[in-house]
Amino acid sequence: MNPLLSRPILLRGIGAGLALIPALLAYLTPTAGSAGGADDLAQSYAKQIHPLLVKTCVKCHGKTPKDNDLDLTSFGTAKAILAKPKVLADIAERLIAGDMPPKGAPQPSQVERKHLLDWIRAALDAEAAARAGDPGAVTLRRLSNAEYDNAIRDLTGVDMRPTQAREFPADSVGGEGFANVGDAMPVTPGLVERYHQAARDVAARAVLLPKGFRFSPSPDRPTWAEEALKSLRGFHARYAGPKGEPPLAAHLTATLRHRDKLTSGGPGAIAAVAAEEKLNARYLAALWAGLNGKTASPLLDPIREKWRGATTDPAPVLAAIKATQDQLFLGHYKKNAALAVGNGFPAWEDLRRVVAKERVEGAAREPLFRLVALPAQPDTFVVWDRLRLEGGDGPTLVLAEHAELRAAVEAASGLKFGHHPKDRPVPKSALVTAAGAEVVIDLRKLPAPLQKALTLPRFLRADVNLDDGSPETAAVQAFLIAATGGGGNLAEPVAKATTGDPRAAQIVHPRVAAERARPAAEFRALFPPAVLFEPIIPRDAQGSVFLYRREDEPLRRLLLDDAGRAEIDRLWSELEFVSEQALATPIAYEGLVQYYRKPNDGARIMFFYIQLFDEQIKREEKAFLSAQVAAEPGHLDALLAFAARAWRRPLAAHERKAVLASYHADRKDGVKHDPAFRAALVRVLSSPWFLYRVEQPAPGPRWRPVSGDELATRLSFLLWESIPDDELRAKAAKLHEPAVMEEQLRRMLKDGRMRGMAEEFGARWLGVRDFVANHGRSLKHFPEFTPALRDALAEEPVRFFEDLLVNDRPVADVIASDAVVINDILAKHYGIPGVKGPEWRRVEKVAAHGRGGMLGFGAVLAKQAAAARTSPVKRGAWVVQMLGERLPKVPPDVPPLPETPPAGLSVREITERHRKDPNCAGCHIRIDPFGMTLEQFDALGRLRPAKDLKPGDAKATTRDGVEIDGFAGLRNYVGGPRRDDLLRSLAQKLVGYSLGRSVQLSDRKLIENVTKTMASGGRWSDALLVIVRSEQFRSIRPEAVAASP
Amino acid sequence: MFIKPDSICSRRTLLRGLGVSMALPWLESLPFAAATTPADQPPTRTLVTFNGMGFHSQHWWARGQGATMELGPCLTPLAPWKERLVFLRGLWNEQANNGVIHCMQTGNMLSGAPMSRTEVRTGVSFDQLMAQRMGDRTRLPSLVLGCEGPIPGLQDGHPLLYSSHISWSTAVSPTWTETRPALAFDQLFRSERNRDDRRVVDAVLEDARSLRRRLSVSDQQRFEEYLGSVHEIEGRIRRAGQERAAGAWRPTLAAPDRPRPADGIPAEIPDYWRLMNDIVLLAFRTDSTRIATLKYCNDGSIITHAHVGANDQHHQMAHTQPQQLVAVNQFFMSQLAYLCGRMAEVREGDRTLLDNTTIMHCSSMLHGNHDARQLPVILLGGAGGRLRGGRVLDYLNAPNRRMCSLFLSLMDWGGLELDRFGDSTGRLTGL
Repeated sequence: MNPLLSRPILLRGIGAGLALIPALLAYLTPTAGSAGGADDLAQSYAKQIHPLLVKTCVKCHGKTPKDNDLDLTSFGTAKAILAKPKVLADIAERLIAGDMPPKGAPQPSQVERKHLLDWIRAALDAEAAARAGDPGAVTLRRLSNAEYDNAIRDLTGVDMRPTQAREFPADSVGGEGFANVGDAMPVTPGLVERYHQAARDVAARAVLLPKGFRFSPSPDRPTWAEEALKSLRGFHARYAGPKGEPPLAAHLTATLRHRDKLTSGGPGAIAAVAAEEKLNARYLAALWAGLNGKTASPLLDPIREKWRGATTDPAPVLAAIKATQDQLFLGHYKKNAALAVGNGFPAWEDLRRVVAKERVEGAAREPLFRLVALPAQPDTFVVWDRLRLEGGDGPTLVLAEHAELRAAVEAASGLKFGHHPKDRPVPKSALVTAAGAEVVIDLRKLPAPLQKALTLPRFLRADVNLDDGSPETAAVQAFLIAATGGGGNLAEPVAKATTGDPRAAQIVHPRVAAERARPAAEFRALFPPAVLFEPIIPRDAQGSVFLYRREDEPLRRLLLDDAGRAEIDRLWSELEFVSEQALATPIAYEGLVQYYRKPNDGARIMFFYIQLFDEQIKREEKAFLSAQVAAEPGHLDALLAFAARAWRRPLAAHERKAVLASYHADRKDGVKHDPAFRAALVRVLSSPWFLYRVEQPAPGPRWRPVSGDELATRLSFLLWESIPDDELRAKAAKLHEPAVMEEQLRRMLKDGRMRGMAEEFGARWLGVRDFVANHGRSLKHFPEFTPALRDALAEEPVRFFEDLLVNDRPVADVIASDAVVINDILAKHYGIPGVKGPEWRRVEKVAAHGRGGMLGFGAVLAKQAAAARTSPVKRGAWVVQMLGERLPKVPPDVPPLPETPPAGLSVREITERHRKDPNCAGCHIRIDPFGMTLEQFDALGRLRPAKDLKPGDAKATTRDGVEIDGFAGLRNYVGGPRRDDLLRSLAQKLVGYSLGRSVQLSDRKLIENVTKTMASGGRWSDALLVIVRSEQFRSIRPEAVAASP
Repeated sequence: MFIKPDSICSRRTLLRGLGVSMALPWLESLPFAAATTPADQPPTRTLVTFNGMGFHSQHWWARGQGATMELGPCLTPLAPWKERLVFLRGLWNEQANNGVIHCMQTGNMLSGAPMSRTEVRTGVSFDQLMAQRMGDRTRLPSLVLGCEGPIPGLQDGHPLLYSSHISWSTAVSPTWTETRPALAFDQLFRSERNRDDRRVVDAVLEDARSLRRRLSVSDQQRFEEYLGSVHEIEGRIRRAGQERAAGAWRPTLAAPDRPRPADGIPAEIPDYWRLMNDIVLLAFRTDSTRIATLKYCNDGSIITHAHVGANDQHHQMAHTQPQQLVAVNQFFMSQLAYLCGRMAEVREGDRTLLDNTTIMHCSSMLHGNHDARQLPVILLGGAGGRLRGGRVLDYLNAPNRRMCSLFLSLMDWGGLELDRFGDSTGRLTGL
């Protein structure tokens, strides 16, 4: 061995900073009466201990240390050496291990050795007791990648993982081996630039709403509108069928099935039946009232009759309702009809309307007008008031008000304005015809200037009613026909006069109109064929002015309570706000006007129709713009609330101002609200207040409790690797109260966000957090090691820990569990039958398959192996490390094992050969037995088939003389005689992870308490409670000593 | 209790108290003694390349000089370039012999600084010192690339950050080492800047100032790396708008002559490494930067070089030293041969890009068993006419054999003359 190389390596243990190993902790556990007084210790150090140290060690650790940097002569007083407790701990460890002084050098006598150890023990005991509860020096921490991603997820509700999208540098670990240690969190310009980019990415996904804002996975507005539409459709689907139909059959069935209860039960019965049948109480009540109405109703009575006669089968009732619906409603879902819907017309048109007065219209292409009122009836006269040309390119032209046209019309029709054949009083602007008459007004011969004044094509319209002298039993349908050909669709609305046309209203005597309209109105109100326009977007949206059509009056009236109405209003207002449709509609409108305003043809008539909505479109645009402005202060308030969540504390007044400063500066420069708002959001998320976990050092000389907000942040980052949620924030001020802390801890443990701790504590403790990237498997040797298998292996320990934590199982289950959490891929890999499908599930009683607990994870077994074969040394060393023991460095110049064993030798045999080398035996006697037992598993963590194992291949004898065989033997050993060692090591790691630093001497009592809790069957909540209630977890060092060791 | 808490004082605090730890280069406005090239002459570029775990212990050597120089098997790919080659024997980095293997030998490769065992802390590397002092002459202060990502984890309690980063921007922050070709290309040519940048940076600095007041003294020092990073970005935004002066030397390429590489990392190692070499070449040809560092692989590299017939991971082979290791080592040297070839093709006035470049290739140990008592180092290129090739220089028994002394010369040639750097106060003799 090269002396120059070997000595420093042996000495490295002394210098290494992280000195507290669990075995040493166990040794240091105080024994009664061991600690002397401070003065005694100081005296005995000066008189005996220091001379003894110098005598024993000075050869290498003197004034000029030989190949090391430890000069023991420099510690002349107890105070001096106690300033470096780690040096003391190291000396003790070396003495216990027996490897210092090195072999060949003069050794201290047994008495001297004991003397030294006793003093160190007493001194460290005193030191640990004096500083117990010291929160320690916790270096300023930025968010780790996991913390950053989780925080963004919890702030935005969208799991966008910016650190992956922007390829942040990978987390590195420090302290006890976790990624939440400030010292191992470098910050570089590249990282800061990524912070800013990521903040921009997040801000680009903010969706401004009428009230506040939300986030979307997408940065595109059309996608945001899709999302709003999806929410709205989801709401619709909760109440109506796929065509917008109400849940009539189910509710009707309930009225039949529970008829007696509803009849006798009083008002409460409706609610009870609705609850029992999971129906809408409001709708049930409306149906019940309608079906049991006492007032005669000509259209409802036959249905009531059927209902009274029905048993529990609603079919006859439904059939009767359907028949009447067909008479009274026309749904516009065909192509051209949908076009109408997109241009502002109702999707559900009422048929057979009964009115006192009707605006009758026809498309007028040429000056040949026909006035028809059908059918003929005795003594019935029809008043056509204000016969006029409207729409198109001219102002409204009332023919009676234009002297020349008035004369021409009178001449052509043989009628006179303001004249009744029976000389009854009529308006001066009205023509009167007898029911059944057809009057033709042919103006085609008019002089050209007059023809031009008509500015055809346009609508020919008139307001039509029966004259007062007509019989009360009379009813007519009136038609204005001013075009030849076509007919039947929107472009040619009415080209023919047909008696009984269901779309033409029945015009009746004004005195009876209301009464005669009532039966249909009552039926329509109770039995609409649809309660909403389900498509929302009309089928031919590209040919229409309006993208969205809202038609849900029946839904609101029949099915929604106040909250439901508020919700659907909110969803609509969000859709309108997010889609900015009101701004798009005028553009669509202009485009369509350009398109339709062509020379006289059928399509031009569409122009007249959409013209009707000109005013509405302008009004809505204006309203939208002011709604946008009205929403702006709300967005800024929401941004400040967002900043408080992101920065994990309330903002001071000047900070609120500062957050909005960039926004106001932008607005002053003429930037619009939306980009200025986003820039302010970028600023909040780029701020070091978000990126760093800042805590105020304690004033004064001693450590002090942190603030409630700071403690809440510590707790949520410990458990969730993320920011506190609203409830924790609300309780932050009282979090130092043990009961509140316990309540919050227990609540948070049940949350899915515990995955954060499963990944960052569980998987890192096992050493497999980076398994996906650094599994070390040779793909050449293992083609079956697919990405799916790799990912499943990496996922398993996380799922396992999640299960432990969320279900608050005993901590000792890490070794003792007889369950795995696996999916189908791993079940196949492990040979566990009966697991189908990709979902992860807990499977019990797996010991027979060589699984259960930490020793059976495929990821660990595969990672602790050579690329192409197993490695008992790596696996064994891993077990040693998990038990909390420290192994010396591998000496140099040791020939490593070949990657592929020479022919005829097993991995076990070459490992055994290696152990024969006396240089190696000392350590390998500790390592190899553990690794040998795991030879049951191959390099991918599969159980080897029995034929591949020679008898005894997985047998070994531990250094302490226990015979163990295979996985089961090792599990019994680690979970049996070594259980406390394992748990002490786990407790140390858990404390280190919780505190974000290496553990130190003053943590000894805490670690022992946690260990005891774990060892006595404690659950995760019990162990975590000990930590989160501890002084070190809840407090912070004063500024003055924040940098001490 | 016989010790008061406030009397406890760590070595770290002491060092800080003495002002050893943090000099903030970006805050300094020290004039540097400029051996600067006139503005109408092509500048001297500096390229550091690195591979982990040294070379085969038997086959890394060179003898003789000039055309008759003999090269050991590891170096054979450089045979066509031996008259541009300087083989340096016996240099060392004293601080690299004090710590845990791999990480404690590598993190200070280019700084010669001590490495803390209790936290991540070493020194600013010389390439980054150059970038901080002179990087404002180009759009990017420096280009730092790697062909193997960092391995998270601890080695004996020390973050493996140390073994995967040779460039350090501050004592506590390794320089971001880009491993994705497309993103490296973007660093050079894509400008994702907008009007908000300036405002965000200003606001962030304002927050940072008020935040800093809340911190303890030690955390304030820790926080400097963040402040420095924000200042750096501020500078980049400022430089993004700068134009080249009239009459000044013009680079041979105004814009990239190749498309942006595909996202992700090429599947084959030779393709990947060549692509990263090409990006360095592109950076120099477009004068996007004059300082580049390219780490081919980490110390403790877990790459398996199957393309030269290796079966084991590089780390494993470095220990076992099979004959295949020579092939792996030759593959490293073939990267340099490629760079030399491409650089020699680029005419810059009456010289070539290779004449105007200093390439230093190094590793943090001589061979795979962690021997850092001497380091393998070669120089290639002309250093702007200041470096003569075809030589073997042996410093093993020289009084000054410090790597930092070599770095002083490299910095001289690149245009930054300093009195001292790291553990050195003087240049190597005979270089």
